[in-house]
Amino acid sequence: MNSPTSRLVRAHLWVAFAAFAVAALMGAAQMLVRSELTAPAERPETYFISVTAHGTLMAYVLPTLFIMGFGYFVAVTALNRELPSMKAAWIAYWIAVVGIAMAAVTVFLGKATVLYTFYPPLTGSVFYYLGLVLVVVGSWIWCVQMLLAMRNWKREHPGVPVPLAMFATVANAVLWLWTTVGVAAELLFQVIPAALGWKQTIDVGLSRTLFSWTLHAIVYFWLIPAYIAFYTMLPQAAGGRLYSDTMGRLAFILFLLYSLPVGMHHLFMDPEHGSGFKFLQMMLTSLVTVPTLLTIFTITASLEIAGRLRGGTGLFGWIKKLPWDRPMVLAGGLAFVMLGFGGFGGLINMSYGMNAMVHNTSWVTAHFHLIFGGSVVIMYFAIAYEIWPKLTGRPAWSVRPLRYQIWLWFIGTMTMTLPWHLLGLFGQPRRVSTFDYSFPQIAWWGPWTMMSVAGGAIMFLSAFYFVWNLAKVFRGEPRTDIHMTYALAVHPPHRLPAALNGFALWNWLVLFLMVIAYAYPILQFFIIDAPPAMIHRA
Amino acid sequence: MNEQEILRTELRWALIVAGAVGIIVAVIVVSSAAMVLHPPSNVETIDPTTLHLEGEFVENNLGSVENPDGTITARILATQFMFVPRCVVVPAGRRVTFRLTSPDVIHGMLIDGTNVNTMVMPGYVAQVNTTFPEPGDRFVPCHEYCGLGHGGMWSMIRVVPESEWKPDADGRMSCEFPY
Amino acid sequence: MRICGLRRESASIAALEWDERNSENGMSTYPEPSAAARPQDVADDVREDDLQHVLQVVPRGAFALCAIAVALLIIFWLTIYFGIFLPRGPVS
Repeated sequence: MNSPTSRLVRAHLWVAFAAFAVAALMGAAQMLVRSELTAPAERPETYFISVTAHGTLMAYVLPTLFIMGFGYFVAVTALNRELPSMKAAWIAYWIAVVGIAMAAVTVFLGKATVLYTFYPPLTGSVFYYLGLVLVVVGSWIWCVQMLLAMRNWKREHPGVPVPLAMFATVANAVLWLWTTVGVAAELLFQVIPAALGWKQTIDVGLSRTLFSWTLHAIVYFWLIPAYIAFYTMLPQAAGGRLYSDTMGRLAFILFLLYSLPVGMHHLFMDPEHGSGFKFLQMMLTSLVTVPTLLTIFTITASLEIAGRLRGGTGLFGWIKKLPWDRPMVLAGGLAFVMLGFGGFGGLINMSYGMNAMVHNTSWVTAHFHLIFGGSVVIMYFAIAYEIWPKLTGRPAWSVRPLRYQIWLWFIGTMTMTLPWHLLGLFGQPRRVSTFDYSFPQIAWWGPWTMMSVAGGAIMFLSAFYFVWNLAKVFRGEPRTDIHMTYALAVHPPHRLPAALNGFALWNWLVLFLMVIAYAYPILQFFIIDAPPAMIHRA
Repeated sequence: MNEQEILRTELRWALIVAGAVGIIVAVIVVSSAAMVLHPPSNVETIDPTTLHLEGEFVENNLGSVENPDGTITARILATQFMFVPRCVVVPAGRRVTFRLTSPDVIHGMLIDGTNVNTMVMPGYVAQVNTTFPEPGDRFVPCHEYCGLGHGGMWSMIRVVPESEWKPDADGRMSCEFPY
Repeated sequence: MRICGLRRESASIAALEWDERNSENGMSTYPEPSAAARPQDVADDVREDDLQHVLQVVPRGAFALCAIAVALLIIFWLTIYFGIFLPRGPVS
C-alpha cells in the first residue's frame, strides 16, 4: 500500500484506538464505582461524566473512525486503485477530529452530562451535539467516497463482480446514510435548537422515536467490519476457502434491509407507542437474526474446509486442526462464542412482552457489551493485526503477544458480562453509579459486582496491551513485498446478477420497509399533539 | 461440489434457521394473544406542567386505592429524584394497575422479580397491569438516567397478603419506605 | 505464521486468472509469503484436488456444529420464557 493512503488509514485508526483506550480506562473505573469497593473520586458527577464519555467514545468515535479508516484500506486494496479524492478524505478526517475534540472537551468539563443517548428534555452544552454532528458529517463524506470508488471501478470493469470486501463496505456506507437520518433529525430539529435556548420545550415521544431509528442500525454499522473479516479474511487465515461468496453478498444485503425497520424494539416499554407497531417491529426484528445465522453456517463451513485440508477428520475433528495460533483465527472463534452468548441475550430482549423482564437492566448492558465490546471489537483487533503490516511494511516479530491480548479480551468480556446477565435478571438497573448494599434485597449482589470489577480490569489491561502491540510488536524487518489479500471463494463468481452487485434495488426496498415501519409511528406525534416537556439543562 | 450444491446446503440450513426463529415467534405470538401479554403500550397524553394542580396525579390522589370492582389502581409520580410516594402497598392476588407520569424528565420504573417495567415520560401516562402472586417487599429503582441524582431514586412496593390489606374509608392504604 | 498472507489484490479478478491457471496444472501456484519470521508458520497452499476431496464431506461438520448451537439457543430461550418470564406474573 502506498504511503499517502497508509498515512490516511493509520491516522483514522490511531484516533479510533486512542479513544478506545481512554474509554476502556473509564469503563473499568465504572465497574469499581458500582461495586462494594470505593473508587477514587466516587461522586455521581464524575461517574456520569465518565459514562457519557465512555459511551460517546466507544459508540461514536471508535467504530466510526475505525470503519472510515478500514473502508479506505479496503477500497484501495480490494479495488487496486486510488481513492476518488485523498483531499476530501483528509477534509473529512479533520472535520471528524475537530468534532471529537469539541465533544470530548465539553463532556470532560461536565457541560454535557446527558449520556451518549442524549435523553431530552435533559440538554447539555450545544458544543457536545455540534461535535457529534461534525463526526457524522465527516463519516458522510467517507460514505460518498465509498460509493464513488465502487461506481468508478464498476465503470472500468463492466459485468465483473465487485470484490466482496468492497461490496460489504459499500453496503455499510449505504446503511450508515440511512441510519444517521433519525439521529440527525433529532439533533438538528429538536435537541440543538433546545440546547441553544431557541426552544423551551421538546416533544420527547418524537425524539425517542427518531433516535430509535438510528439506535439499532448503528449497531450493524459497527458490526459489518467484523463480518467483512469473517467472510474475506478469516477463511484465508485458517488456510481454507470461503464456502460461498453468494451467501456473503446476501448476508450484507439482508443486514441493510433488516437492521433499519426494527429500532422500535428499543421502545417496547415506552408509553408513546401502541402495541401494534411494537408487534410489527418485533416480527421484523426476528428477521435480523437470519443474516447472522446464515453467516455462522457459511463461515463454519469455510473453517471446516480449512480444518479438513489440515488433516482433520470426523464430525468435529477438523476444529482442533485449525491454526488457532493465528490471531485472526483465534479472534474469529472467540467472536463466535461471544456472538452466541450475546445473541442469546438479544433474542430475550426482542421477545416483545418478555422485554419487560430485562428492559434497562444490566442484562441489556451485558448483551451489547458481548456483541459489540466482545465480538465486534475483538475482530477490530484482528483486523488491525492483519492490516498493520500492510500499512507499515513491517511484520510482527512475534504473534504471541497478539494472541495473549485477544485471549485477555475474551476472558475479560465473559467475566464482566456474566454477572450482569444474572443481576439484570434480578432487577439491577443500568446507568446507576452506586448501590446501597445495605438494602437487604440487594446485599447478595456484592460478590457478583466484584466479579465484574475483575472482568473490567482484565479488559482494561487487554485494551492497553492492544495499543502497546500496535506500537511495539510490528517492528519486524521492513519488507517491500507485503500486500493485502482476501479470501477466495470455493467457486468465485465470474458473473453476478445486478442485484448481488449493487444496491439500487435494495435502497427502494429499505425505503418501502421504513415507510411501513416508521411512517405512522413518527406522524402520530403530529396528530396526537402530546404536551411537550420543559427543557432541563443538565 | 459445484456452486449449486453449495447453495443447496445453504438453503437447507436456511430452512433450519427459519424453523428455529419460527418456534420463537410462534411461542411469543400464541402466548401474547392467549394470556394477554403485552408491553405497556397505553398511548395517553397529559400536560406535565399542570400535573400537580389538577387531575389524577395531584398529591393526595397518589398511592394505591381499591376500585369498586375490587381491583387496585396505584398512581405514582416519578420526579427528579424521587418516586412519590416512596412506598406503595398492594394486596397479593388482585389485579393491580400502575399509572405513572413525570412532571420533569424521562424516568423508568421496574419492580424487581416481576414483569412490571415501563418508561415514565413527561407528556404521557404510562400504565402497566399485573398481578402479584406472592406477598413481599419489592424494590423499585428508577432505571433511566434522569440527572445526577438518578442513583438515589429508589422506592418500594409492599405486596401484602389479602388478610393484611385494610384500606381506609376511601379505599386507600399507605406504607412507609423503611430504609 | 501468515499474519499477512500475500495472494492477490482483488479476490474476484484473481479468481478469474487463477481458475485458468488452475485448470492447467491442477493446483494453486499463489506465492505464499509470510509476515512472521519463522517459515514453518507459513500457511499451506490450497490444492484444487485436495479441496474437492474435503468438499465431499464439508459441510457436514459445520451443519452439526451450527445445528447444536442453534438448538441450545432455542432451548435456553424456551427455558427463560417458560421458566422465568411467565412465572413472574402477567404484564400488559
